[in-house]
Amino acid sequence: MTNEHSKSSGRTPGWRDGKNLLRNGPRQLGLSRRDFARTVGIGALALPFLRTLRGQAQAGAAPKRFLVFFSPNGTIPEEFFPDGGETDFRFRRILEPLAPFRDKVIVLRGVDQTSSNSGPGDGHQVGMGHLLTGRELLPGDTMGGCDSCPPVSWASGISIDQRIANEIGATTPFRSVELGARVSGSNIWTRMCYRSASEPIPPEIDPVRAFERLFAGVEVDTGEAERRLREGRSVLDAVQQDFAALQRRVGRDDRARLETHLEVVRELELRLGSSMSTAAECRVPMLGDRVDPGRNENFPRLVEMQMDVMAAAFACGLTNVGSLQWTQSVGNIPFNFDGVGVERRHHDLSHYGDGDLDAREDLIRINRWYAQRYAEMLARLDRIPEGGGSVLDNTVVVWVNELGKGNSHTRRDMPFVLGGSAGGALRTGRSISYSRRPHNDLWVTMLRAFGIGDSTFGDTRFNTGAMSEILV
Amino acid sequence: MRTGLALCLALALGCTGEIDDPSGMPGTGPGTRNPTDPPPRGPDGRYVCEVPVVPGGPIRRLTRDQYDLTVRDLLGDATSPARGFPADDDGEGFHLGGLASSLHVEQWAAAAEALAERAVGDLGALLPCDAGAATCSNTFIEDFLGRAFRRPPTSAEIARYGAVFDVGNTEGGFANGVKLVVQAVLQSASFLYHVELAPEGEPEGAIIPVEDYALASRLSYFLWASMPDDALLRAAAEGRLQTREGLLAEAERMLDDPRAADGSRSFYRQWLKLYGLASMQKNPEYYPLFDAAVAADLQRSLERFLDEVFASGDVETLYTSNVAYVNARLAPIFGLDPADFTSELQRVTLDPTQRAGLLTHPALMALLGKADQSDPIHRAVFVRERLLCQHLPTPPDDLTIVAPDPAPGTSTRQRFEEHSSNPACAGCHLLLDGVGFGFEHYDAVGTWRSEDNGAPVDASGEVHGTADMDGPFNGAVELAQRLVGSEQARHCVARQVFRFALQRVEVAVDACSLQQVTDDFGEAAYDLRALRLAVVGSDAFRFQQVQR
Repeated sequence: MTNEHSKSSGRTPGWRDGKNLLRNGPRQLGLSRRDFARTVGIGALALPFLRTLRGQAQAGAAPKRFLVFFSPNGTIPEEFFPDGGETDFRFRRILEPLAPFRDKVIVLRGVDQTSSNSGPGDGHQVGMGHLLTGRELLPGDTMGGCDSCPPVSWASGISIDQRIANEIGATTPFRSVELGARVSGSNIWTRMCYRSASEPIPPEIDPVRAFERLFAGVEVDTGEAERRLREGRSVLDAVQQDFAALQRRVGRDDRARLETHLEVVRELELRLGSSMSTAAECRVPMLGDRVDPGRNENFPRLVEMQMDVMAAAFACGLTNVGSLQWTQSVGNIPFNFDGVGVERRHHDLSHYGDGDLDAREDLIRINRWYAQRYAEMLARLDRIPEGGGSVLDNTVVVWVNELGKGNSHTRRDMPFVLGGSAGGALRTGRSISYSRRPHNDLWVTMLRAFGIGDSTFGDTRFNTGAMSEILV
Repeated sequence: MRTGLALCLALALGCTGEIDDPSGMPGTGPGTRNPTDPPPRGPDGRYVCEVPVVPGGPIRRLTRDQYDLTVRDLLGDATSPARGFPADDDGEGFHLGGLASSLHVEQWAAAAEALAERAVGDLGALLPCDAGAATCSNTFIEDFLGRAFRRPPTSAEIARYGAVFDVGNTEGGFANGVKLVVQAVLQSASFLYHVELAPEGEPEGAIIPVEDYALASRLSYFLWASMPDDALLRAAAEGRLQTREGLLAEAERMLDDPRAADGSRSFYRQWLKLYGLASMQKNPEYYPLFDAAVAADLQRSLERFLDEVFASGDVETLYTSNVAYVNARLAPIFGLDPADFTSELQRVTLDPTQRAGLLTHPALMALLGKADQSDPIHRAVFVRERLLCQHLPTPPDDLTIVAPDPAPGTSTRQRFEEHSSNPACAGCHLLLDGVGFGFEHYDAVGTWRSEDNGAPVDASGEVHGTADMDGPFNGAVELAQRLVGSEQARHCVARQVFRFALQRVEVAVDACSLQQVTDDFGEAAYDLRALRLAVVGSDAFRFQQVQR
């Protein structure tokens, strides 16, 4: 690739400032495609995700946004949960990096993944599959099972991010954007977002591909845009006719499977003519050199790049719902990076006994490293002005983990942190202790924060009501 | 000195000490005509199989391997775009495809456009006719659809893609029209899915032969992991695949073709879970010479060995051959002198007391090793799940394990032996440790060692919980010989090939087909080429159940 972003100097991710033509608002709609491509750092890529530029911010009030931030294998609770009371809390070692955002976060203690004591699956499987769905896993059938655990296949219902996307996703070109790093395979351990039962959503694990998907189809030259639009529509029309013809000839189950596919093709066609904000907040990230998403030493860089892409997707109005998935349940990478220096692998470490102080120390360092990344994600969003505040203020970034603690696989005392207030809907700057509160309640609380009136989420047996303490 | 102790490391693998039926067939009661029940057994314990019975199943789509090889054979494009697609859902480790997500559909769309763009860069290679000829667009569309859909196109399809050509041609000329057709076809259901239609009028649940072209695709995606060639499509057109003999004749031809290596490679990478080989990393403090180049060479070394085994070997070769491919970089890992080698892999025979086939290959031992030490647990899990087709039981929920502090100066074996002193762990570790300790002569990168942490290696082990290979043994070489002699292990190889061939996991009604396969496999002295022919000849491969 001869992309501009691959020529950027240094490894520091950042926003393109100063010369950024996009900052000047509607005027640059007269740019040629080549100029635009040079500006945003894409070469002569020809992708079907054609969008035109919209020369102003999204009309009306600032949108609310929902972002999931996942790290695996449980935490070390004694160094995770803060000391002190609800408002005079003090961070311990793992969450210390959140100090600059003390007033913008909520740490929840005593929230259990109660639903996961019900239904099939082992600790990691239920931990992951229930995490954002709050429902039993489906029993395994011959498809989509996993290796050492024949009895389970997938989660049995929609995940909270997708539930929210169902409400607010239609206003953006992408109803949601799932990104990750070092996620491998497709099974119960590697998927947390579900569009519906048995319909997991894979994350894009290559930041450059994610970037291309979101930004590279932007077209400025109106004539060229219209031509590509006509061609793109004719291609997708034929594809849809092909599906429809086949659907008539297959059995009902396959008809439904093909319908799932066809539905996404229709969404893609709708997106062909969609637009992207060129308001001042929309600045396309400089990704730097393409890095191999399959190599572990690249993990910290991949995480940074994906966070840049996600922040830009929010700022440019491409989506209001996202997730960032770092590795997967049972994720087993070594953290042998500068500044972490843990040679042993994460999941292996998470099984050592409490008496093994070396392992415990390594796990604290890994979890603290994730806390630093979480704080950096908050910082990225907080740097983007919006309305009277920042994009962070209009977002809630939920840090989740599929376990409470690795060596016991417990799903009690799950380490949940919320950052941002979803447009003032959440009372931040607090550390709140519950007692055995089902995590389904947290998701109902999120629905409430997004103005969605459902009184339950997931399995109704594990709902006791919204967490009114954190709602405004 | 490491002080950590991974006690109950395999908690996620279960500690109840029970293991499921190694035959893998749920239930053994007398069969009814319910297609989900297993067939009845005769007095000799064998399944009684009178008429073909096969399960219905979801429509399958091209896996990533299949996509890449198909566009290579269809367009001559070897860029392997599917490597960036989301992973295929897995069943027992095999790639099954899965539902299409938004990300999938967008990536198929992006790949289709990029592939089409490159394809029209050499119109001469793509077109069966002179681009200037008046009828060339129609000729191209008919020819291209026939290959991309792996069957003759219908007139409606020719018209549909003709309309796409017209749009492209109007907007940007002939090549642009061709490009748009390619772009659309690569996103169509008939390209992305393995379509197996039943004739009108066949009732739901009927068991019918797979129709000619669908059967041709089954054959080519099994043996080549790619689309049928012209000869195979011709055989389908002439109805030659409808007899078992005709089908096997084509299979023989295809196994002689170089593309058969693509098929076996796709199979054994999934079976043995070799996808992590190239990105393996080891702790440089312990293994300073291990780097990405060594990992890549190890992968090539193992794959050269497996290519050879699948081309002309049998189960015994697989497990006990002392042939290996070694170069100067790998020589130290094999205990050989680098001065005797160049950078090219060279076929050598190794000390048969230290090395036996797949199991002791340094690539596998390294893959199943930790960054800084051996890994008896995961080596044992590999043997149980991949080579014996067993499932380890699910552990009790929320079991809290607190490890005792380890004594310094203990070997890996001594440290892991503490599992069995904890009753919560002892159950499944009885199944794991006894197998895993047999590999203690191989360190984290697969080098043979006689001492571990100053103590002599004790590689004695004991197998429990199998149908026919229980008992004490000493070292992985002996374990490998035990596998060769085990019917459970040999049948497991057959079952794994069956899963790959049909892109699904077997169910109860497949018992008859599997019995046919293992019978044929046994008659052929467990030859791996014969195994593939046996799967091709089985009912499960040749028949389908009608879905309405």
